[in-house]
Amino acid sequence: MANKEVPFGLKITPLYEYLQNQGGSFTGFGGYYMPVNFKEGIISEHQAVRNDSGLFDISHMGEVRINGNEAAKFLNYVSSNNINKISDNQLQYHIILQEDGGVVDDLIVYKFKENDFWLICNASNKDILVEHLGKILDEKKFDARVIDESDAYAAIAIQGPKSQEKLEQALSEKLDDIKYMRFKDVNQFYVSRSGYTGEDGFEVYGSPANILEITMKLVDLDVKLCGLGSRDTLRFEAGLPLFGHEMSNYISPVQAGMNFAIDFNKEEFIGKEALVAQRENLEEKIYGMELLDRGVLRQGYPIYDGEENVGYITSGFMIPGTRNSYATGLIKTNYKNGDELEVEVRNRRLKVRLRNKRFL
Amino acid sequence: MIYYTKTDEWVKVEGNKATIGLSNYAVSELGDIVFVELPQVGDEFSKGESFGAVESVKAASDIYMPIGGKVTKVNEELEDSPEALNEDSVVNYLIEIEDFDVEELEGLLQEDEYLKDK
Repeated sequence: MANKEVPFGLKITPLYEYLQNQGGSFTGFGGYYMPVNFKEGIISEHQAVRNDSGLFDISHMGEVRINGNEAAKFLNYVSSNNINKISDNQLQYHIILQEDGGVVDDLIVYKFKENDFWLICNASNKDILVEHLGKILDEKKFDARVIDESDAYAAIAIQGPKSQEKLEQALSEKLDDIKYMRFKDVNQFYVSRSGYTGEDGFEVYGSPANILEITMKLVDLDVKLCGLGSRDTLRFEAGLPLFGHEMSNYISPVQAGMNFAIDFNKEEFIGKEALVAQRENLEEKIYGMELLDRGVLRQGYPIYDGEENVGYITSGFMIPGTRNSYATGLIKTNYKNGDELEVEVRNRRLKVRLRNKRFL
Repeated sequence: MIYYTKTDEWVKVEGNKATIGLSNYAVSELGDIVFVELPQVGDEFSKGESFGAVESVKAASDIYMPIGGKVTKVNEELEDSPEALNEDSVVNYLIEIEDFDVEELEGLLQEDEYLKDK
């Protein structure tokens, strides 16, 4: 069967050995060797999260601290969103921008207190992000520091309608007072009500040893182990973008329809001019679509209106447990929901109908 | 006698017909199969040519002819129940062909040889 050795050059998380013993099937992702799925497969993991509870190792994600007297000012300069709108112990979604409006990374900010934040970033972008932030600190001389704390922490996400009761049992602590996008300290963990699945759920950060221990407790409470495969189908079904798909160095948050995370009222931030120009004259944007023929649409497949190539697919799945096949695509803006286009799949044209991009 | 390709297809010759499918190893690596794209009866393919594709939740994979031939039957059950491949992809064949050349079986792998590297 599959090679159990860690491929050269890939890192592992503190849960690796345990997840390997639990039957995980692993692949390289963002520089880490991570489980794609466990024995019963992606469909059963997807359904566990929708109907009960599932657990994801998210230790590969980066924890980058920003602190110092001008940490908030610095963050507001490099990011689309406005950190001054949240309170201590609150979370906020941010998009770190290039000058041209493309995305360096999208991330969740945890605010510990005034001028003390954690940026939770994509594994594959962590080094790029730290370098980007360091460069701007050097140029603009903000009184702030950027500290990569990723190696000190492990993290898991517990997602699904039963996640609260299971996590409360595992922590022996009530969690009612943690509202959506808030966090607090619970027995040596940071626990936030947040996630990337469209379900209620929590993300838990702690020392590698503590995270391993609580993971084992949760699995004993029948929380289903889930891999990157179902993480992707769940986020997709819930209409959440994934860096490298619906947003990227080349696809801006305006094109991705993420305007809720852009504060155009801020006087200045990197990429503002480009985004303002796009907002006024947007040529391409991300649409959702339903595949009317049988099949599955994958990233990169070209989209046609007659003979004209009008865009390409950014993500696509048959929703686990259904025969509904949906996709997102970057397409010229002269179409509206309900319009029909074609996608080329292995030299055949399949019909799609445009719609919103939340498929739940 | 069942023969395998390095690209994870199998072929079984019975008289003047041969059935073709995917190895159970390949299917277990792909995970949950959600769609199978198969050719039409009457289509002709040569050895090594792609005759269809399987889609798992996470990826699409082309399927290649272990030997050339003309399609006489496709397993239509897979249209409604692609997950049958996850149960047993040797029992649940993909296509049946005729007009093939048995000499093209040469160079294909027997089951133990095929499984040796897996």
